[in-house]
Amino acid sequence: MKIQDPLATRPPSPALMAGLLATLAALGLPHLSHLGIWPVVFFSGTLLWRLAAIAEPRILPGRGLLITLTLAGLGVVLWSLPVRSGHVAGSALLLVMLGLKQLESRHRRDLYLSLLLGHFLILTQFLFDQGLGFALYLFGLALVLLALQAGLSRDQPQPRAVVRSTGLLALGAGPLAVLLFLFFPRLDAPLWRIELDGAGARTGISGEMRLGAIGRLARSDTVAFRVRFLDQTPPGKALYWRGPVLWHFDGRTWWRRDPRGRPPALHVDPASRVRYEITQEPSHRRWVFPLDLPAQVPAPLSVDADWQTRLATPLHERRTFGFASWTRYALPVLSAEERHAGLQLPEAVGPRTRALAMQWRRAHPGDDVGVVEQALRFFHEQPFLYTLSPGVAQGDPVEHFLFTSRRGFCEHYAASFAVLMRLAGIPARIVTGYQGGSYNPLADHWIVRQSDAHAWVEVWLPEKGWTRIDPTAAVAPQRVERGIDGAASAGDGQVVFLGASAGWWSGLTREGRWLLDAIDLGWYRWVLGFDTGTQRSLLAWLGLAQAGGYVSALLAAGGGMLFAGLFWLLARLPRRRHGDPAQQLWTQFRERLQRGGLALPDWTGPLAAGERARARWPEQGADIDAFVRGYITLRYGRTHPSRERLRALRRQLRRLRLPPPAPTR
Amino acid sequence: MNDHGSTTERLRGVVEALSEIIVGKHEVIELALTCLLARGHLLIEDVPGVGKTTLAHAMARLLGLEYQRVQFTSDMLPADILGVSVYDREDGSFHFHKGPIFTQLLLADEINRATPKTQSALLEAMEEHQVTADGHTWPLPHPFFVIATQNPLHQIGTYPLPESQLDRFLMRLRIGYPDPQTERRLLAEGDRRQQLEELLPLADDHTLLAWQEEAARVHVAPALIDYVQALLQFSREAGPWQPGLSPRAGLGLLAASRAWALLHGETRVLPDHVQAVLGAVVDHRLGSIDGVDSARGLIEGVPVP
Repeated sequence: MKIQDPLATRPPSPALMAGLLATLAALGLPHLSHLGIWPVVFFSGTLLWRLAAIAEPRILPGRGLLITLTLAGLGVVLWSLPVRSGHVAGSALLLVMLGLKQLESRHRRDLYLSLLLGHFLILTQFLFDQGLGFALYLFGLALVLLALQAGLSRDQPQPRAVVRSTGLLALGAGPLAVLLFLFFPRLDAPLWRIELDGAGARTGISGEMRLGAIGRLARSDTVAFRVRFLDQTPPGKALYWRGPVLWHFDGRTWWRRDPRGRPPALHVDPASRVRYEITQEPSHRRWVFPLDLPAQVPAPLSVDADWQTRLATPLHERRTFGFASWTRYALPVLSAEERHAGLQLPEAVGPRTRALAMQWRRAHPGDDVGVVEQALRFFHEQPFLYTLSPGVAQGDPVEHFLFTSRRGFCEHYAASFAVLMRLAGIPARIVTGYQGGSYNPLADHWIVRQSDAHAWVEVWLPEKGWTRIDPTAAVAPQRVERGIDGAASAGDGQVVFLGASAGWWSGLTREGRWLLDAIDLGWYRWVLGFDTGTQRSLLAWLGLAQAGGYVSALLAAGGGMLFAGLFWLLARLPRRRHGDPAQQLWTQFRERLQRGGLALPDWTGPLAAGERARARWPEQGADIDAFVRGYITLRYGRTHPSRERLRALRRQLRRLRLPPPAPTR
Repeated sequence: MNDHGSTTERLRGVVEALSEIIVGKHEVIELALTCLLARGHLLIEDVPGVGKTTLAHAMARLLGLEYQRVQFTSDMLPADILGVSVYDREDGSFHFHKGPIFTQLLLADEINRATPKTQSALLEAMEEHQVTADGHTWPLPHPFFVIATQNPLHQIGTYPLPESQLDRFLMRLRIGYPDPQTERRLLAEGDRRQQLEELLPLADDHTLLAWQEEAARVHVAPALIDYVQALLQFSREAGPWQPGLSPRAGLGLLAASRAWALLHGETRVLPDHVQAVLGAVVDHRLGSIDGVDSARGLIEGVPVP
């Protein structure tokens, strides 16, 4: 057809163009944190250029300049991003080209392409972030894209009509999306599970301890992981989430050893077995933090001789693992290597520190437990202060902390304690991880945040084996019992532990946080975590699992047929034109004539069409005539087509019976 | 205001009566009457002896119009049509003697035999609906309708009308030879021209003016305007024609469609009506391409919206 959509070749209205540009900007800007600054700067530049061109179309670039710009955009992508990470470079390329497309958008039809590509841009955002809040943001923008499309297909968009057709589009797409989400066959590697090459920020326990490092974490509210206890919940002071174990100390930094072999033998209290699930946030590291001490870890995880639990590859997405742990246990074995490493000391140890340890040793000869108790008393009785901002250590950090500042947090206490133990000849190691967590009653799970990061000490006692000692508890027992969540920071960073009767607002905000947390975990569990396994169990629950191994093939075939059916339906739908509803009915009439075997050229006038139809179906003559006259009155008559008249016309059309010709012999 | 039904019925009566004189040319008669109702002038192009003059004369008789016939020749001057100022010795001043153009229906026979100067004098008067001579202006009567005839252009001794002049005729019609049966009837029953003198008028000039007004009021919906506009646009952009249809052609097309609708008892114009008059209105403006009339290409190039 030669003249299909007279709107297509007109320039878009300034409001529509500006709306599109604003929406694209809102869609593209989050890529700033994924693709780096340059592709986004290029993209924003093209959008601003096009925005300025609304008022002054002459500044739009010509063909030559456009080609140059395209090459420049390609250059920006290649120069600023590694090509090897395909999805990053690909997203950047889409972003840059979408910006360039705006510069050559002169007609309404160009905008349709931009709208479609806008949806693709949304898709690329999900490659980097699948959080619920972000998803809602993108969903809102998808609706705006639909609204723009609805506005674009109208000559003079009325807000109500635009809202209506946007709603209809979204409502129509909703069930289909749910259906496809539930039943469309999933790949074992989901679409989003693309390995990120660690460009993002890294939070969490690092496997190394430089005095001061955990202090920064302590203020981060970011969720580290969530825990759901399956049968019994251990008491708060037993919630030690075990992470990297540190052995070597050079006077300032503690680091791990390379533990070889399997976990050594242990004694456990069978009644203390706890089963739980940990949903670990993406940490971009391999550490996972089971409850001290892991009894059973799922397949991709492994436990080493230091009872550190690790993944084979860094964790870039949220995952849930099922665990079992012993909360009461004994580790009686001390290898020669462990004894050696557990007594290692830096070459220069502060003389006052050494003297203090020697003094304890002399007071309790041959009684390691006595030394430990003496040390804990020391921390408890001397004016030590638990604070998150201990200040910069002068000289030997351990000596400075023990005798000068006496201000610090868990890692200061743990490090100093371990050094003192080693000086007294007791093997000691530092365990890092998290301690405590906050219970979310709405979601029935525990949230462990980065602020719950903790460090404690394990000493080897001849009677008990490796024993957990938490010197921080000696100074600030509330830190251990109530967790840092129940603490508020006083002005100078000194932590004040709040009682149960905190202000009502703090309770409210806490419950608000619980709610958000519950929603977020639900989003993960039910949407992002809906993988092949979940799908299979859903199908089993529906009684569709009998196909066994063929279920995927069946699903694929079903999905394919669903799509084919949809396309078939779409192809059969009457081609709706904007504007006149009477005309739509006329189009339907013409299509019915065609199905009945009477194909009329598109230039046939209504009278001629009616006449041809009457000649073809003489018995229906009166009905055909009634419809044609009704249509003529509505479309060409003087009266405005009212709803009732349209409905009457629709009825007349429905009443028409136009059987196809009988097959000739 | 006349009742539509009766207007249409009376117009059908005129068509029937004309069909008695010009046998077997129903469509030509309807188009000619449509042209008159649309206040346009008519150009009939055909070989001599197919009934051009008879058609004009019969229309004048039936509609009760004053009728003049001018045979154009190559030595004719503008004054021979428009009139001439003559000095009156008695009162010592010039008096304008009105020419044959001062009539309600003028038959300008074989207009392309006259020189361009004379042709344009007639056409200007047609367009302006008045005659100016010696600083005075004399209006032409109401209604005023010109039927010009011309011989096919390949005949010797003709001055073809320029395109700009052709545009002033609302329609151009070809009468054509009668089909064999009609011709046989003509030969058997003798010439119909004698009946002309016996014809009684079915209307008068006032009635015709009322009909013309009624035709101009036939409803045109936005959808139809869209269609006409698409046709004009197509003729300018997509077709093989250079130039396309003028805005005047568009207005004429709409007026003719309205008259056609009235003649066929419709109270609003439909695309069918536009298509019915399209050939007569546009063919002389666009010419034919490879022997195929332009209207066909135009109609089939533009979908009815």
